[in-house]
Amino acid sequence: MSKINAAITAVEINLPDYVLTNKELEQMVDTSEEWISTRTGIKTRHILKGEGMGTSDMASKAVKKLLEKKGVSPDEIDLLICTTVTPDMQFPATANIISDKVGIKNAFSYDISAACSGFIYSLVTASKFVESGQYKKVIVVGADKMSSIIDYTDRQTCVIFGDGAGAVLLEPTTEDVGIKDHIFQSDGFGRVHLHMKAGGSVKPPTYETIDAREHYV
Amino acid sequence: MADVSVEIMKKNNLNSEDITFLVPHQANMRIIEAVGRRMGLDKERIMINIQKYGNTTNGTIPLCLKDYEKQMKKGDNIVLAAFGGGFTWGSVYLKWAYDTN
Repeated sequence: MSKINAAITAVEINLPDYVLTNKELEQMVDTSEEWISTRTGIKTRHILKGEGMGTSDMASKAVKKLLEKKGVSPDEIDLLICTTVTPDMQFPATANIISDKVGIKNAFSYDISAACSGFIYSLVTASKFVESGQYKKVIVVGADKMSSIIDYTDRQTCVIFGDGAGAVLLEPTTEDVGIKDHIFQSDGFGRVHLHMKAGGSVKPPTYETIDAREHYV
Repeated sequence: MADVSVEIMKKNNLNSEDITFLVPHQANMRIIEAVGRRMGLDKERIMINIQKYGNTTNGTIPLCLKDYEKQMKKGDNIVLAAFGGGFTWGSVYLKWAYDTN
């Protein structure tokens, strides 16, 4: 029997409507349109606005589009992995919430958290389920509402990040396509360089952590 | 990110000419360009959309794949690369599986 490969067979995205320009950031913090553009290459970013709107809202829209595009029913999905650093809430997993919003009922789902490498780690994790032959339709959705953890008084970080979601469908194939190889590594020593100080088990939220602006990147 | 991108090429006997696209995490234009240079790729073969969306953390790579979907053909060699908090980093080599009309 020939080897089963896991291939991306579709990709869909969702970007929130609101576009935050460098010009508008100029009004918010001490920066300039030109500085942002030359230093970062960024001109615009999308921001999710609206009370009660979270990462799962963007992610579920991307996943719905993915299913419609492929003519796949939510019932056919075996597994959904969401990768995010801005989950809707600490628990349950945002993947569970997305599955509920989309109507995926015959699957299991969970989140993976690995900051900016989350999507590639999740893609390879998902590919192993497909390669096993046990899972036929697996979704990986990468989504973040970065604006929920960005301090819009900090000119260093607020110009960089944006909100958005993208989803891929992975399916088995015996053709010579799909995920071939990966090289992954991590080193927790680097945690001091990019992290959110408070809100986790080490430093649960208090009035002090909020006053010290420790719930931001 | 540059090291593991070059390493995955060597490991799979891929030369610069064999790679159709590098899909880098969109954190910083200078890092993106540096990775491309190390892999011997000109700018046309690097997916870039940071100017439109900024750094969307977990969204960057699928957002790139969507923007460049029509330019990829079945069988194209694609390298994904990311670096971020943790630290975490890595590269993925894949062959694109479909054509988009």
